[in-house]
Amino acid sequence: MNVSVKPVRTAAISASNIDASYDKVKILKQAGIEIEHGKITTLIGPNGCGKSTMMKVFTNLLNYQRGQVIINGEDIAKFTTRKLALELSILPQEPITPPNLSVKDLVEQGCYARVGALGMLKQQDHDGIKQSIHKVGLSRYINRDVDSLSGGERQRAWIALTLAQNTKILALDEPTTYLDIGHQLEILELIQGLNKKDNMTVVMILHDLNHAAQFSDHIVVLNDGKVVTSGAPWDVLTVDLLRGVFGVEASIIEDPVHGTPFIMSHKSILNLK
Amino acid sequence: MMSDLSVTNDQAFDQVVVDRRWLKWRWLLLALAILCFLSLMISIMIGYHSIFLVPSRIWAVVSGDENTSKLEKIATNFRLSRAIMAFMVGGALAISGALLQALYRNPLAEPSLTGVTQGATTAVVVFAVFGPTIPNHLVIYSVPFIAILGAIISTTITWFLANRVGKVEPLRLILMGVLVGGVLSSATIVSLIWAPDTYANDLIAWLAGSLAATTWEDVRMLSIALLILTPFVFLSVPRANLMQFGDDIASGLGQSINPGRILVLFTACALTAVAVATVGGIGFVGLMVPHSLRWFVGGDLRRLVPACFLLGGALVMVTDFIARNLSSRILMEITGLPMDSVTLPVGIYLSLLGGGFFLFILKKVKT
Repeated sequence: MNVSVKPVRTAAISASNIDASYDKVKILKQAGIEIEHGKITTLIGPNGCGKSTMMKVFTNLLNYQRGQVIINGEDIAKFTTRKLALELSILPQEPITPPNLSVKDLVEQGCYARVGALGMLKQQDHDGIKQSIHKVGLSRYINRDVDSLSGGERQRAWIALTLAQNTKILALDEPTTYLDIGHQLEILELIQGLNKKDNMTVVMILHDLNHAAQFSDHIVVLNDGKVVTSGAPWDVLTVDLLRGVFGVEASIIEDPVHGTPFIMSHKSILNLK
Repeated sequence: MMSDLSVTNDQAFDQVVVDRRWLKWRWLLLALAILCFLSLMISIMIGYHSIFLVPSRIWAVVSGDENTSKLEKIATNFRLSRAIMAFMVGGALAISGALLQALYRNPLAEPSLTGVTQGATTAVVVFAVFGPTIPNHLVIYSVPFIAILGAIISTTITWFLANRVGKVEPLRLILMGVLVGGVLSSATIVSLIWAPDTYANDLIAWLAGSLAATTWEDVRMLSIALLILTPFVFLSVPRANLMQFGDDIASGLGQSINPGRILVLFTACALTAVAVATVGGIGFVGLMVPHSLRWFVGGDLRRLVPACFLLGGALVMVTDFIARNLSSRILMEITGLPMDSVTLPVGIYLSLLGGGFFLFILKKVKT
C-alpha cells in the first residue's frame, strides 16, 4: 500500500522516504508526501499515525533521520530558520497565548523574519499588519488582549500572525480543535478564502473527515507512519479506507450542496481489527 | 498577496486605529521618569544625622561650586552614589526578571527563584574564601565576572534538571530553581565557616543585600557593566518576545531557538550577576516589577523592559531610602529586639515586600 513519491521540483513541499522519531519512538517509516502550489492539501489519519510528525518534519520543527524535504525546489537543510520563515508559516496545535498581549502586539511578531530582531524594536506599523488583522475580521479587537478573546477569535488572531509573515505556504495543525461547529466552519472558510483569493498554498491536519472532504483539493491519508493513499477527496475517501484505516463501518453519499463526499459513520470495528 | 479587501465587511478597518497600548506606555514612561527623579531628590535631601540638603545646595556640590561645606559634600556624595546605585541595581534586576519570565514562559520566574541569584552569590563567596588572593584594586572589577560565571553555571544546572524530554515545564523549573538555590545557599554557609573572621562579617552583610558600602567606584563599575550589557538587552527583547509563544511558533516565525535562548539567558544572568556582585543578594525585584507593569503596558517586552528599568530603579531607590531612614526606635518597637542604632539592609525589606507579593500572585494564579 505504501506509495513512495519521488521529489518533484515544481511542488511547494515535497517530502520523500522520511524516517522520523519522536521521543525515541520511530513514528514515520519511509513516508513521502507532495504538496502542490495553490492547493489545499489535508493530512488525515487515525491518532498516532504520524500526521503531526510529518508536518513537523516538513516545517523544520523536527529533525528526521532519513529522507529528503524540498521546499519550493530547495532542500530544507539549506534553509536557515529565518529564510524558511519567509517561505512558509506554521500554526501549531493549541498555541500558547501569553497574558496581556493585544491582537496587534501578537500579529506584529509575524514581521520578525522580514525585519530582523533589531527591526522589531521599532514599532511595526506596516499596512501588512493591519491588513492581516482585517482579513481575519478582527480589526475591531486590534487593541484587545488575545487571551480575553473567545476561542474562535483567538484562533483567527493566530492566523493573522501567520498572515503577517507574508508567505506563500501556510501549514496548520488542527486549526479547528476545541471550536464549536460554527466556528470550525468559520475558520475553514477563512482558510479557503486565503487559498482562493490570495492563492496561498495551504496544508493542514484535520480530524473531521467531512471537513477534509469539503475543503480540500487533495487529501493525504497516513496510517502507522506511512502514507496509505493520496488524491482528490472522491478518489481517496472510500468505504474500504474507512474500514481499514479508521476502523469504522460507514457509508458515503454526495453532499447535496458542495458535491463532495459525505461520510456517515455507523459503527466502530476497531475491536474486530 | 494583500489584495481584495472589499469582500470582508470589517468596518473598523477604515477607522484610524489608535494604538492605545503604546500611547499609554509613553505616558507611563514619563510618569516613571518623574517618579525616579523625585525619589532621587528625596534620597539626597534626607538622610543620616538629619542633615537636610535643599536642592540648590545639592546642585552647588554637584556642579563643583567651591562655596560648599565639607559636610554638604560628604552627604551629597554619599547619598547620590547610593541612590544611583540603587537605581541601576533595581533596573537591572527588573529587566532580568522580565526576560526570565518570557524565556521560561512562567510569570513566577525570577532571578532568586530560578537559581540565578544564588549562583552569583555562591560563586562570589566561594571565590572570596577559597580563591586566589587578587590585588585590592582589581577585586571590584573581577567580582562581576565571577558572579556571571556562577549565575550561568547554576542556571544551566537548573535548566537541565527541569528539562524532561526536551521540554522545560514551568512548575518543574521553579521547583528545581528552589532546589538548586537551596543547595547553593548551604554551600555558601559552609564556605563562610571557613572564611577568616576578618571578612566573614563583611560577606554576611553583603549576602543580605546592602547598599550601605556603596562607593563611586562601585557606581562606575556597574554603569560600565550595564553599558556593555545594553546591546545584549536590545538583542534579547525581540527574541524573548517570540519565546513567549513556545519553541514551535518562535521557530516558525524565523527564530533559531538555541542561539536565541542562550543569548536571552546570558543577558538575564549577567544583569542579575553584575547587580548582585556589587550589592549582594537582593531578591523579588524581578518578580514584583514586571508583574505589576504587565497589566498596564501589556506583555510585549518592547514596552515592558524599558518600563521595568525605570520602575525597578525607583522601587529599590525608595526602599533603600526607607531602609536607611527608618528609625531604629520604630524597629525596636516592632520587633521587641534591642536594635538601637541598627539599620537593616535594603535586601531585607525587599524580601519582606516580595514575599507578600509572591503570596498575592499565587492566590491570583489559583483563581
